Amino acid sequence: MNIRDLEEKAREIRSRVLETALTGGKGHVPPALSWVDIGVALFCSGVLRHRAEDPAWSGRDRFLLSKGHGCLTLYALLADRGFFPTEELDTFVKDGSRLAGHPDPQIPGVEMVSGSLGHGLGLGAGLALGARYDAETWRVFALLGDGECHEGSVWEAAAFAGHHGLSNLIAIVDRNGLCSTDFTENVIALEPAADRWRVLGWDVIEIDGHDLTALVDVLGRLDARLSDKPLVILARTTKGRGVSFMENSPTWHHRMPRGDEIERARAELRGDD
Amino acid sequence: MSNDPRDVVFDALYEIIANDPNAFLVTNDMGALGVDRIRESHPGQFLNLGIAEQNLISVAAGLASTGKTVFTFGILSHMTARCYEQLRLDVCALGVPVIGIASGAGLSYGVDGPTHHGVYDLGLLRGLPGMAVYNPADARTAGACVDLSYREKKPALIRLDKEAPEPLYEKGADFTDGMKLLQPGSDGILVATGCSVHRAAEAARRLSEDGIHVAVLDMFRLKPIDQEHLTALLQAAPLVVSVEEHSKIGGLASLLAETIAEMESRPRFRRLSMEDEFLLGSTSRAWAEEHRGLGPEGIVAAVRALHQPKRKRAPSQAAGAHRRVA
Repeated sequence: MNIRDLEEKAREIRSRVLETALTGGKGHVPPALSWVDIGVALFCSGVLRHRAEDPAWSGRDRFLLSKGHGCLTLYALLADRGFFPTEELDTFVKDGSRLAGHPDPQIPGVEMVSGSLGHGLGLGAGLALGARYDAETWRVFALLGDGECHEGSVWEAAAFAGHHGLSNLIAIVDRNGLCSTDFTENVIALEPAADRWRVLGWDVIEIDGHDLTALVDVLGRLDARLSDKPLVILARTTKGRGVSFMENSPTWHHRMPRGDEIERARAELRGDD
Repeated sequence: MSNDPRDVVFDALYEIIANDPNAFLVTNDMGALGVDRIRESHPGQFLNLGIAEQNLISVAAGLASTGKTVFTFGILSHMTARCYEQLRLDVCALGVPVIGIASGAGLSYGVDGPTHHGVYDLGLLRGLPGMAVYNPADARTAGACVDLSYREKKPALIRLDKEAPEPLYEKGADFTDGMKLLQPGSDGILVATGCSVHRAAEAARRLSEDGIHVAVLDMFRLKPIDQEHLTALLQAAPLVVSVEEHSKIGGLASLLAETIAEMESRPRFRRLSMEDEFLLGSTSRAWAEEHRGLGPEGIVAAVRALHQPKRKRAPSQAAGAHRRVA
């Protein structure tokens, strides 16, 4: 896919996130919209090695959605890649559905139970350690929220991975600046974020998390890395990206659009002027 | 064979790691002679993850997800409560073979204060779907618990005691059932776990001198339970006394109460456990035996209080002779 196709795909995924939440009557829409471009760059540009028809393929890259509340985007991406039928998205949060408000591994393509924060990086470090021990070439990608970086276990894992030089571990922080109810810097400051990771032995790349050209460029060159350190990509994003009244607003974490807001959100995500 | 459970467990671990390149040992900076031996002989299969138990369990779960069997070693109280959510979500929900070797069962470290008391974990561990929970009373059983959990390739935790008692069982004994009847007895049953099994056996010996014959059951696995077998043993007993060096909430007493509550005809039941309490300061095992009735004297007294000699038994209870241990 060229960049224009990827941008179109991102628009499609954003609309699907909204429609899935509307069908289910609930969901964390803004935290999902925040990482759509990152997800499209990973899943749709050939970066993430996967086989939808064989989700447990041993050579797959492991993608861990540590910020489990962003699962609406993961579900839309997995359906798009053919891990399960797109119609299954309509079962979101319905009784008996595999697609709950936070993801678990009974869903093809999902590697962990997430929803409680601070688990993905440690789990990812263990996976990366196992891959290195077995001389496997598959890589581990862990997507973290920035509010999640208030969890102490994130820094236990970061120190461990840095100390052991787990260069097959790539953390991506969805740095939208907001946790659930406030801006991260008002709650407990995370900046200077890059320094925090660097001092623990990580390579750091800071990037515009909505710039698909830059994302594809960085992610596409990972195999050419010669570093013996794990890599964190601090992706500056906007929570609620694509819906103006949701963007960068502490009000919008798991609130659902109501009344006129629904059609406004739909129109903005379609790109209507 | 050494009588120290730690020696036998680390010998078993050494054999596993020497023969299986996909077996690992990780610790939270906890030392032991057996750990040193494995670290020196198989450094590629050993990791000191530092004093960071949450990450230790997550890393162990990730490693186990790549087809490894990961043994963890640390102090029981720290390796359960501190990292409970990691045990729940990363180990048990994924069903991966992370096998905890946790030293400090009960009041093994009683004099070290409440941070080190292993008397609060069983309720937590029993509440984890898919977790096997072992509490061996001697070295041979402890070694068998390692072998059983290694073969099962599922989440497990093995509590280790600091005592090194004489072995309870012969070499080659079968431990697959999760419980062992040390001796039969028609007047009741003492159900014990861990170090309390030895106190129960001594109490049974003293009682037999007075003509009261109680069975002794060693519950060395507290989950999963062969419920049918346990129910049959309890059903056959006119009285049941549980003995454990653990809080009365969540451990062996709770397990038995849950079982007895669903029985049609119930035996008389008394719990000998620690209270729902923090024991601040230094608390020895001997203190607990005296003040919480966990020693042979306390167990004998509990049985005597429940025991109704046959000649005084009401007709309806006498008719319950079919409930006796064969």
